[in-house]
Amino acid sequence: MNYADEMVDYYKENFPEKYREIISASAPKKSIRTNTLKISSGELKARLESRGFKFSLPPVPDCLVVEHEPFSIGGSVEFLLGLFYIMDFTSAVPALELNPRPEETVLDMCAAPGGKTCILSQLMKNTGAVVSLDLNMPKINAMISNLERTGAKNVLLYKKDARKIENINIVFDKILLDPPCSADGIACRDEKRKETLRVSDFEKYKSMQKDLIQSAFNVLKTGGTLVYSTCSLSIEENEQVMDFAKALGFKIEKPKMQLGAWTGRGFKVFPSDYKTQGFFYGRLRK
Amino acid sequence: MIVEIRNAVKSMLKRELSFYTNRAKVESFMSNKSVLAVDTGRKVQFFLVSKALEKTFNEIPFSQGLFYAGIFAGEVEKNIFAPSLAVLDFLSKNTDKKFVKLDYKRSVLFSCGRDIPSAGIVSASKDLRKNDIIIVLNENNEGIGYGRVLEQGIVLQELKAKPVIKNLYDIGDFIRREQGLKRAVNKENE
Repeated sequence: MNYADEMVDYYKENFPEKYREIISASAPKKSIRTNTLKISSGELKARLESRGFKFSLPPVPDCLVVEHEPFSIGGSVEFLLGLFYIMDFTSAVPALELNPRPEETVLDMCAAPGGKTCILSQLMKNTGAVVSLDLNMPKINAMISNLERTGAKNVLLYKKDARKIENINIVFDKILLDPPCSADGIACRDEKRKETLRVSDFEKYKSMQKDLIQSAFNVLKTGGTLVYSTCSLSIEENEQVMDFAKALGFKIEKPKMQLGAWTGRGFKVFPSDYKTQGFFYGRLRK
Repeated sequence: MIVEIRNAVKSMLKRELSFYTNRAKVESFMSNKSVLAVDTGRKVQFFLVSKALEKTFNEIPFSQGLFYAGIFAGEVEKNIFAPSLAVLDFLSKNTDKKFVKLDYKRSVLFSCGRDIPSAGIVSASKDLRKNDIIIVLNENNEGIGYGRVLEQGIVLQELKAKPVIKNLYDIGDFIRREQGLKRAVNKENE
């Protein structure tokens, strides 16, 4: 299946040097992130290699790209024990970029199914507090299993609309915002999605993303950091939302972790850069 | 749904957990933590929360919609306490109670919900008796579940396919739970 003509035109107009690679991108390889609360990356790699798995090293710490699996890695005892989490390695970057310290109070606004929250817990050495919010019940159920499996011990998980937290009574040190998005960056995984994706999706999600940024601004401490990310390549859901944040009073900072291309608002990772999903992340300071 | 700090149940939790290891180790597991209870009417889930997490919980004005907090210790449904994976992880490092240790192949099968035949048990406590509740470990001494002894006098590595340990709960349970199946430990007691 192929992208609709309007999508091809959109990519051609906005990313003339990349559009051919975007529309022809194939599904990325599976990657995993070590749960450093339970095991080191070296130990995990050796243990899984002894079972017949083969890996390559991506440019993100504690991640491994699965090059060969004798059986599904999600069915391994090591997965069930919570020694790793299956996620595109680009998805690990926002939590690493936020880099929360032990004892801080952190908000993960659209948290489920919890991969990023688990990384926050690892970085905070299971101290302080991570308040995780989401509205999607099937994803919340998956997150409950993930928290239990990975041994994250500093999380409060609520079913709550992150746009309606003006009365939350807490000023957070740091905030992670990975909002619902058009997900055109992962259309390479899903042939059906390629066909149904429309340019109007970008505007539709942008409105919600701006509401979430506004909500985050209200509960972040002055001087606090927010990392914003999406699995979209669109200008509307990324650069335009970052511009909205700037207009609110946020300062755009250049992330320390640098993957993909700097757009002046954040880093954009195209599927062809590392054979991953398409991804965007930006860093804001209040 | 009632969500509240319920430290009055600490002694009940300690008693339940002491079933698997000695009281001093349970005390250390629960020290400096409060018990947060989520009571749905059908079941009560118990979470252990640090002082920092308890403070944050108390500051947040909405308690409804809380689905997870700190360490999930276990849940009571139909008056039966079912311990969690976190407890299993703790016990695998601290148990001084009865156990069996499995080879890799049997660990995989046990994690898929299977019972255990004597073939595949590489070591076990000496004094296993019928109906004993035991911790099941893999070859790396990691807790992968709980079982119940079905036969008196297990002979290790005996090449018999007949189960000698009943699977009560294993680390693959969460996948089956996501598929809408009940916890094995509760199912057995219905």
